[in-house]
Amino acid sequence: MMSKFEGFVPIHTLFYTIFHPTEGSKVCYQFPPGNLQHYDINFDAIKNYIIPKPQLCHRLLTMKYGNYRIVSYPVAVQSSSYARNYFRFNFVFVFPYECATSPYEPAITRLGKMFRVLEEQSQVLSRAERDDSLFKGDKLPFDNNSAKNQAPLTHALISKTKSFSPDKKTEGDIHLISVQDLIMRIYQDLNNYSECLIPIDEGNAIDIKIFPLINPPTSVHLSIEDVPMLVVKLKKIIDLNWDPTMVSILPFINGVNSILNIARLSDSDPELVIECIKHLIYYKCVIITDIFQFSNIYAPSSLINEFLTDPTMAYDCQEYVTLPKSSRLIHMPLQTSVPGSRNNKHKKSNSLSSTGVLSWQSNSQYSNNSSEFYSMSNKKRSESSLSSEGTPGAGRSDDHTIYYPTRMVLFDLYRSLSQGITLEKWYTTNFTTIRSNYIDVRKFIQFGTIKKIIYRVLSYPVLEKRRNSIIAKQMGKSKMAEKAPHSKNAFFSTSDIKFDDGDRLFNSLYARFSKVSFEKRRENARERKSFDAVGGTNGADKETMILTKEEKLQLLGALDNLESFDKICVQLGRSRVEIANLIADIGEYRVINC
Amino acid sequence: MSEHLPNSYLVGIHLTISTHSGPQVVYSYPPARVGAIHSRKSSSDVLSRRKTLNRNGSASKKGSKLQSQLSEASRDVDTSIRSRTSMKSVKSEASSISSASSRSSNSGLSSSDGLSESELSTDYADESFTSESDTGSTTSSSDSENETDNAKINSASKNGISIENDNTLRNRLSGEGEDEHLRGFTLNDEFFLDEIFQDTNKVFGFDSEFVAEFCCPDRELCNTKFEFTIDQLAFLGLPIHCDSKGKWRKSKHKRQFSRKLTNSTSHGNLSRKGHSVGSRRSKNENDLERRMTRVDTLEPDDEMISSHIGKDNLDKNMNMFHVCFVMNPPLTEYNKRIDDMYQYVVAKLSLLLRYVQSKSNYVSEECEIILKETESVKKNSQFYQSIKSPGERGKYLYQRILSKSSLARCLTKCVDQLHKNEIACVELGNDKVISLQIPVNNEFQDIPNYKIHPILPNSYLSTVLNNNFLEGCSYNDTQYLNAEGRKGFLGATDNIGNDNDILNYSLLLLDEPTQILETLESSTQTVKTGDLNTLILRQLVKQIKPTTPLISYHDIITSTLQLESSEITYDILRSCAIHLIYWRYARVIIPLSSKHIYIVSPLLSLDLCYSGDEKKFREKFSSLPSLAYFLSRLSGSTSMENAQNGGTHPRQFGALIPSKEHKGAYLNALSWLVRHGYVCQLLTFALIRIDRKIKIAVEEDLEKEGYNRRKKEIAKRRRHRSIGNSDQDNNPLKKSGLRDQTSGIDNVMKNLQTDDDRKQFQTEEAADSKDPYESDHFEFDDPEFQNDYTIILEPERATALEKRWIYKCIHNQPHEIQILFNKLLKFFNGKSPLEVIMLNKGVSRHEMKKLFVALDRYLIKIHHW
Repeated sequence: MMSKFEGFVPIHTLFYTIFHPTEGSKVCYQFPPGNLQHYDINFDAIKNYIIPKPQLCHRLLTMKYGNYRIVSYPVAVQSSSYARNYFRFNFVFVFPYECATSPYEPAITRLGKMFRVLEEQSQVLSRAERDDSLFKGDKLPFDNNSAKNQAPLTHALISKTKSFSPDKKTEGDIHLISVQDLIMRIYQDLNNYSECLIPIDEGNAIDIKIFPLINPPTSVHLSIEDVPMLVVKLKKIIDLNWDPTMVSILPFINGVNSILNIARLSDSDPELVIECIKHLIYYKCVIITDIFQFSNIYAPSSLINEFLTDPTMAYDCQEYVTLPKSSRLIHMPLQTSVPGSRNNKHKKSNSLSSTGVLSWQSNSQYSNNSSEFYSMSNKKRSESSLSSEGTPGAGRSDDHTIYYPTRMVLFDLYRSLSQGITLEKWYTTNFTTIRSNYIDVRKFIQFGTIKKIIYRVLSYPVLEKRRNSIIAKQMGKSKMAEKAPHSKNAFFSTSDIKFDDGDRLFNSLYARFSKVSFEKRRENARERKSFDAVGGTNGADKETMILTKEEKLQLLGALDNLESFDKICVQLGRSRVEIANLIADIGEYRVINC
Repeated sequence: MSEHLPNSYLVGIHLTISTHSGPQVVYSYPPARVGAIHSRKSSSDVLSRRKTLNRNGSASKKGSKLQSQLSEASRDVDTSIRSRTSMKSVKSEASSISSASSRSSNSGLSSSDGLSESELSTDYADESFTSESDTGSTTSSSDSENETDNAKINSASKNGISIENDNTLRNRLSGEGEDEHLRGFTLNDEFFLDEIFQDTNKVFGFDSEFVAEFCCPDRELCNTKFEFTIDQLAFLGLPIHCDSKGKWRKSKHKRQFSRKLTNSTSHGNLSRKGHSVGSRRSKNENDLERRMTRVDTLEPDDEMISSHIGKDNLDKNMNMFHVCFVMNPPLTEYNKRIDDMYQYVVAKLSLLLRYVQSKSNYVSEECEIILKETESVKKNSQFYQSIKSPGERGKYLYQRILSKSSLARCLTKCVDQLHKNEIACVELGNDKVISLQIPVNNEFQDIPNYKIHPILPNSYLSTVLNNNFLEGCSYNDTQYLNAEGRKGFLGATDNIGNDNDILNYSLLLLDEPTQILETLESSTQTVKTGDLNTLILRQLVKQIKPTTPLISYHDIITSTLQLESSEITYDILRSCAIHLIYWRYARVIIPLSSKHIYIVSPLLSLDLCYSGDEKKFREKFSSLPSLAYFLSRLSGSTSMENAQNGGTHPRQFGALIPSKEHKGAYLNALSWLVRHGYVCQLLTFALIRIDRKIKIAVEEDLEKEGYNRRKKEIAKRRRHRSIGNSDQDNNPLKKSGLRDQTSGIDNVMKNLQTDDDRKQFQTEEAADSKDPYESDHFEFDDPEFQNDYTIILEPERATALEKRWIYKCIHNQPHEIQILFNKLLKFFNGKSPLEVIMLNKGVSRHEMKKLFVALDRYLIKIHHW
């Protein structure tokens, strides 16, 4: 779920322990001071997990203690110079138990690893203790610096200024860090800024930045018909160093284009686009919606009550769905009287972005690539795209006289959506309300789906006799097998296939697919009385009617895989009505909405 | 990532004990490398997922599957286990009821008559409940309550003594014949392949001594959740440490007296099975602590005796044992997986082990057995020496151990079953049975974002959550002993209200009754014939129809038990139902009816399951139309593409049924569809909407009563003061949007006045009227506000003014409408499905319809699941 990120859990206590040759495991410093005692954290009970046996060193350990979770990365450095040939230390982080500590964990590991190296190189930590008993008698690090060693303990507190002041650094090879100071700064910086940068010496510093832990993007299942929608103004932060695909697809992510369409428009590979979108989802820049069409079905979900109970939702909705007064959409007729608009349905939504496009026929920038299909009359679709383009623009700012639709109206509209009712029908029913309230239907639906108060009911064509799925498979197989040698003939030269059962069916298929003529189709269309044949004058229409072999396979395969209408339409680049007709040619089928 | 999918992420299990001679790992399973376990596990995951896909999730198929693997002899073992569990809910029910009744009236229903058979087993049945009621189910918390409870129990549990004896007797008797257990167990050969097998002195890649060491924490860390992670590997357990006197369960000195009186366990005090409620973690912890410190009714004498009897050193020596579950959950799911495992499995198992240890030194005895066996095999067995391959050798060793020790069997079974996400029903000793499972998350109230978080195929979508019933029954444990608590017993505690009785619902069996019966039947073979509880369950499974409410099966109970119908018999029926749900045999649903509306479930993923199910459907319902026909009809589309007419609203299921003769068959098909998650019921929710007219009318009334005089003054003052706002108030919204104007739903508005003035006035006004709405004539004279509606979100907690509005809505209605309306008023909150309310309140569909027709201006409906 897109749960809101609520900041990181503050560190409860940070303490530093070492194994002392004579005193055993002990807490050297803690911050806030005295916190362990104050909160009844008994170090003795846990010391075996804090300064553990070597098997557990250099591993990230967490454990529950009372109401705390203790996270640490114990380190044991082996060297003959130490009193017991070992120096063990651990920076231990204490958190409240009921929280996610995972963002800290990599940082803690890194901290431990870094100090391990530093200790190995220059005994940073062991020296900082200024305790000779840590070392073997003959290898005291402080021997040659006896002058400095005179009063190390009294100066321990000011050693911070010493160690971090630049003059000190240049002065001698031995400067001692103050671990006490260090943990204080780590604690404070991490709790206040979620990051820290604390120099240790000229070459090293503690750099920690904590990041929230998010599910890996691989778990997202995207399909080509999904529509990404930006929730962050990525255009503002775009950077040429970004992944080229990302840069190229970005302009096309508008909440209208499907992934496949984005891929086509930006001339990218759909798989790459999907990867990019996954990453955008990961960073919560994008949410996924569906293709808006008037043939879609939406229905209220169990969250619809949130429209009433969530204090801000209704207001947000009012603001979001209202059209600018200047919008001409509202004055458009309910039924388009323009005949033959059929072909124009396959327009890119973008092509309608200019406000003046109200004459459908003239606007025949028909693009075969387009994957946006609206089985409703163009008018309505363009309406939505118009408004979507228009909102951020000038429309609203000078618009003082718009009434927001009342929340009751909006709620009633959401409520009246229903399983089994297409948006078209719903729109017709509620036309007056929608018009008089200046509601942008597309945004209205979008708002509902994003907030999950309504959900999209997907439609699936399912063949009544799924016998021919066998054919599809066989065809698929044969295609694979024979495509290479003679790809032209691949489809029908499948002599090795035994059409025992589906033989007849296959033949009829063959006939339909290969011989379906333009005229026939037109008749068909007329029969279905949805459109006139005028559209046929468009040259592109011929292509629309006849599927290539590839597409036939695709269609059969899609039916076999029970893909949704959306996906099939997007894949084949055809409208739902066309697809429906094509499927009807294959065999009797049923539509399942779920 | 995939938190909706069942995956235990369980690597293995090991049992560590601490004795005077130091900690040691007694048993660990599986003896394989962590990586290998994981890969194997994931494959089994797929398997189990597919299984759930086949709508199973029910234990029956698993049972039968298991059965087929087992030899004839082994069947007995398995079944005996099963039978016990299948009985236990009923038994505990019966027994606790009887004890309750005998407590209240010493004459009353003596627990021995009519229930004598089951009474015998109550002891362990109840025990298994203690453990099952994972820590979430609370017992009465305060000391004083405890005291009274105890006192009550004392009288009740006298007859428990004999049971106790009986059990120990049985214990001794069944000590023999253990060899047969071995055959009851199929070892997972995969773990013993050479490339996976790990030497027995290693535990999950660590030296066993070392593991033993860090799994034996200080006493301070014992008797509470133990969670220790090493990189990705998490060790999760509940180490049980005996107290300074060597006792395993704590007892308070001041309770000594009462404890002596309460010989044997106080069944009633122990809570019943179920899942915990609410925020699990904290509650868990608390309850755990409470449980730890709770007065235990264990008899000290008994313990003394048993410790004297203990012949081996281990009995006296062992001061801690720790069943540690090793897991490797991914970081993103870590908390959930660990919590689930702890709550549902670790805590339950460990607490039961502590109980049996305190009673009979079970754990230490078993440890002794395991250690001895291991040693003798390793040192003395020539066969063992002769085996070359380490894997085979390990297998032999494990077989020997498993044949000897029931605890080892239990732990092994636990791991194997949890790997498969199934219910592990294990037997501790010979009389304790516990079932452990991590519930499968296959029901949802809201549509999950399944593009990002995959869910199990064929999940259920409904406001009527089964989990609520399971939780509800543990929730009600708290009041279980209190007489007044009985009413809410076994009701779901969601927004449907307290009187949401499971008996008004019906059960939908998740498998063919024959399959379920088979598992139940096989379980009855070993147990004494005529076992009443199994009998009841079998009858229930045989007869139950998803179209009939559970309550109609009440006569099964009364006739089988030959009891007068009473609250007790109803409770038995309830617990039978809960038992079937818990064991994934059944789901609670609103009784199927042709009058209800069903839609194709939005969670359905056609591509995953349609192809297979289509065939199954055709085979099962050969005379009916195809699955596609049903689905498309239910989804509102007619035969072909119907985009032209835009489709129709979902209709009653009856619309599909061609004639009366077909009704049965069609309903059967419907139950199949619901069971397989294809279809969910479309429920109706209602809200009260007050329109302007009502408000004006109420306003006038108030004025007549002179009530509003002061208010008007305030209103005047307000108008005066906020004159700057007022034109905004009533004029079209500016872009800046003074938000609280077009009060579509001003019940909401109440909470979020953006206008400071308003707030101020509200508080002023709050003194004399709780008017949430600023209603002066100035406002509603404005034509813009003719459509001003208010939706009352919580009629039950309506303010005075809202109540007046509501009253105004119905005051012209006929009397019976008014009565009905008032009866149902609190459910018009948009959260309670009317279908459920009709069930619980016994309102007929006709009445409901009449109400809605009469009040159609004020009642609005919402449809979802």
